[in-house]
Amino acid sequence: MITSKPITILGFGSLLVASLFYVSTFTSSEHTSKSDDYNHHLPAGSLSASNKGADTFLQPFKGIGLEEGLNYRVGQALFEKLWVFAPSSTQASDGLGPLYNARSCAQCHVKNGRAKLDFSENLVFNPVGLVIRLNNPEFGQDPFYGKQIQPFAYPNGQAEANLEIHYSTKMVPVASNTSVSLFEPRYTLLFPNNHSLHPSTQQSPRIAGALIGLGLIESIDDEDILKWADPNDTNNDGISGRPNYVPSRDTNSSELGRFGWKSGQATLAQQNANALHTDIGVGSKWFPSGYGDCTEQQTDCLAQAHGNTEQQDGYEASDKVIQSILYFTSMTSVPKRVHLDDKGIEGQQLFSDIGCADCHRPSYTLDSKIQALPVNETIWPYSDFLLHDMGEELADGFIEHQANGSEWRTPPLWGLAHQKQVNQQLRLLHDGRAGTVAEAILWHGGEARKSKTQFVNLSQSDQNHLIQFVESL
Amino acid sequence: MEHTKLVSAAIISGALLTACTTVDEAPAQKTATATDVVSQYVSIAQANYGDSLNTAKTLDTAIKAFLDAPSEESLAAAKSAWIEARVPYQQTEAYRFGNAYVDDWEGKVNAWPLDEGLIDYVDASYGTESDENPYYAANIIANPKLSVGGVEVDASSITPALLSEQLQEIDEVESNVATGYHAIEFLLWGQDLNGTNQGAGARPATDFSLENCTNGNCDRRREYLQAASTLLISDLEDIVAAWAADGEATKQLLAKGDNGGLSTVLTGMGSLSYGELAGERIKLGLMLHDPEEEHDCFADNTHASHFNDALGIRNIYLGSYTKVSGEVVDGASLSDLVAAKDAELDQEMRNKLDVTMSAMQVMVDEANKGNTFDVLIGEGNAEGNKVIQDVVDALVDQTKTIEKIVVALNLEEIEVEGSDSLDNPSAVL
Repeated sequence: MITSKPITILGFGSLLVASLFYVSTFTSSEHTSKSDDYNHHLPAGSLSASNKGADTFLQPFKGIGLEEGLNYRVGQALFEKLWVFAPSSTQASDGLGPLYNARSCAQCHVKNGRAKLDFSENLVFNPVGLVIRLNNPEFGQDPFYGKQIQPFAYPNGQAEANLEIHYSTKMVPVASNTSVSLFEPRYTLLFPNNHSLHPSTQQSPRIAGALIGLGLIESIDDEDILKWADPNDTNNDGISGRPNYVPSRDTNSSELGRFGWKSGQATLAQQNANALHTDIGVGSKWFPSGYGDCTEQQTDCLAQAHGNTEQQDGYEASDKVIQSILYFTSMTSVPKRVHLDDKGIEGQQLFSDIGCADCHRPSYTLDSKIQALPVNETIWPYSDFLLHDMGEELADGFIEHQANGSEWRTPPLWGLAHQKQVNQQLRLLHDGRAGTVAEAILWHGGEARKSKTQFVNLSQSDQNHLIQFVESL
Repeated sequence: MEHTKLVSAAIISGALLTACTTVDEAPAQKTATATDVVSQYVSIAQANYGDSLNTAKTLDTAIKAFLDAPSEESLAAAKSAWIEARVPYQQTEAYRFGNAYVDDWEGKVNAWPLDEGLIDYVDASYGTESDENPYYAANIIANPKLSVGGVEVDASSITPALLSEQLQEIDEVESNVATGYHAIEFLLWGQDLNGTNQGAGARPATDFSLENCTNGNCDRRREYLQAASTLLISDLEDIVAAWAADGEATKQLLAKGDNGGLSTVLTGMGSLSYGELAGERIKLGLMLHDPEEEHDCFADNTHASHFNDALGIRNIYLGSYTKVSGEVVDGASLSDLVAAKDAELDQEMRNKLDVTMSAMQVMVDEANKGNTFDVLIGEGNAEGNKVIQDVVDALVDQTKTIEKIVVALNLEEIEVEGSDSLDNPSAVL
């Protein structure tokens, strides 16, 4: 299935060896090679996709056949499908809501990338693709509103709340005599029915992320991730790296979380099914309610029609639908990186020198299968997929399984080079508050404070080189 | 039209040459250039969208006659005009892919799935456990004022502007949920409650009668049908204007240059064949055995919709479109261009297009016997499933040849939607 690697075609076999060497030694910061390693350009190895403009994140792994490609496209159709309210003639399409954040997966994951936020006048109103998640230590969720706020409702129904995000600007110094403005969000929920959140309910704003290379992330061995974990910081480098163990509906036991902003989901299948249910209101095997995130107290919501049908195995989305969406999300590739010049290569060195790579772990070697596709590749996601305390300024106070209120999963950086052509904006971090790589770096705190400070102390040109490197990924 | 004349002249002179066995002149068909091919592609767009507009006007006339005197006969006449209107429109779909202008526009007229429950009553017993389904009454036709997606809508008067502007903005849904061919289809036919069994929607004509109104709100239902029909005409007028010589779609296409233009033509052919038609519209429905996971479900006209999509792909390759009037718009073709480079490849493409049309024809023949698309994809209907699978296979197979043509014409930058096999792994580096 796997075609011969471009590396061999081009006679760059020796560089492959060099890159493996790089993986095993980069923590000691001894890596001094200035060559722009060819292998680096292929974040998904020989499965990497090419640049395809706005559709760059909508490509299956390189080299799969036309038949597999058609299955991918069928899954994509479901991912883009606009769900409609029950009852309708389209039994496979109904099941929306009654309360919902979006009508399709693709409305939030625009072109399979991130949500788009419209920042006009520093105010965002009911953004599609940014949700407010709810947790309550006593009840597990808000007793009235459930796991999440849905700002949209069935016809003639009342939405749970309107969300307003106001941004205030603060200037932060970088290098000598220059500063960058950061946009600090403030979230306001306006409840039309005067039913407020439970006093001890915690809220967490979350933006929809880019869905590339997820099958590859799922294929990484637990042990490979765990060997980077240092929950008690025994090596005293100020960086912990904690695994989040989360309940799996598949195995009925705790599994290593690796998806979501706090690694709250262990498997892509469960992540998908949960999102379908909570965000769109579509039930399936693991989340069977046809009323989405309605709680027992939301009686108007529970009085609506649901879309459970025999044709869909008694759910709103049958197992075939779920499997097909899973195929699409797990077979989406990662695009090739942008070529680095000498300055970018210096930036790559700095990225490692100031400790960015201590959490944004560059690579993994896979020997696995995604669906039926054998995968033996070195991949370059630039994440350790572990939880880190990111400081007070980013903290949401939201507990998600073992993740505490100031911990976040290191997000992978691959695909950043193409983010703007897919979504016309970057909108980084968990709630999209950072519009540039520099802003995102400057928000880093907690375990990343030391690296952030080192970044601020770099010369402006060195900062630019580091950013150039990150933007090449 | 100029090209029509030129080519006819070339064919005639070619015949004369053969007759006289004169051999010292260059063969006439060699003259097809990329510019000619792109220009003929525009000519077909003009004729094909023009036909779509004209048949929509005929449909509008039939709808007006029906509303003037609602009866089962006048309803049947409106339905039949709708089916006729779909014939030219579906052939234009190969223009959608590759032409961003068309792709952005097409949701207004062909959006799917339709939020039918938002438009009119739907069967109350369907899919619910409760006898008193509150959603039964939550639709535009029944409600002069309602909220959609949490936003208040004043629908006291149902106008084209209400449908196209207000309802389209709601929910940030990229495609309109309340307009186009399928909204009209739903109003004419009603829900198809037969699942994967035979039979289409069966709305009574009295749903539009002011004297003997059935299912309530007939005045508003009449308003809706007329507004949707008026809007369809104005949307089609926009696209016809866009394909005029100085229209926006034409300008954007010509600005891409010869190779860019050819890439657009092939992108349309390949993307419609493969990802859209074989994948999204046919294989998805077959896989899920879902009676409505495709176009034209209320009217059970899906077989014709797919057939005409495939015919549109063939038209573009052969540079020839047969108008509703029977007039043929013929001219320089991609086929000529490919034949000049590689006659065997051209033959292969023609053969595969024919195989696809034959497979489509089998499906249409079944439909004419009552085994419409929704019946053919039904679970357990192995024979029917095979008919549809043959269509998928033929479309995938013709995609392979389209890809070969891309290579033969040195158009390597092309990307057929959903297909990745053309890429050169090192191209970006």
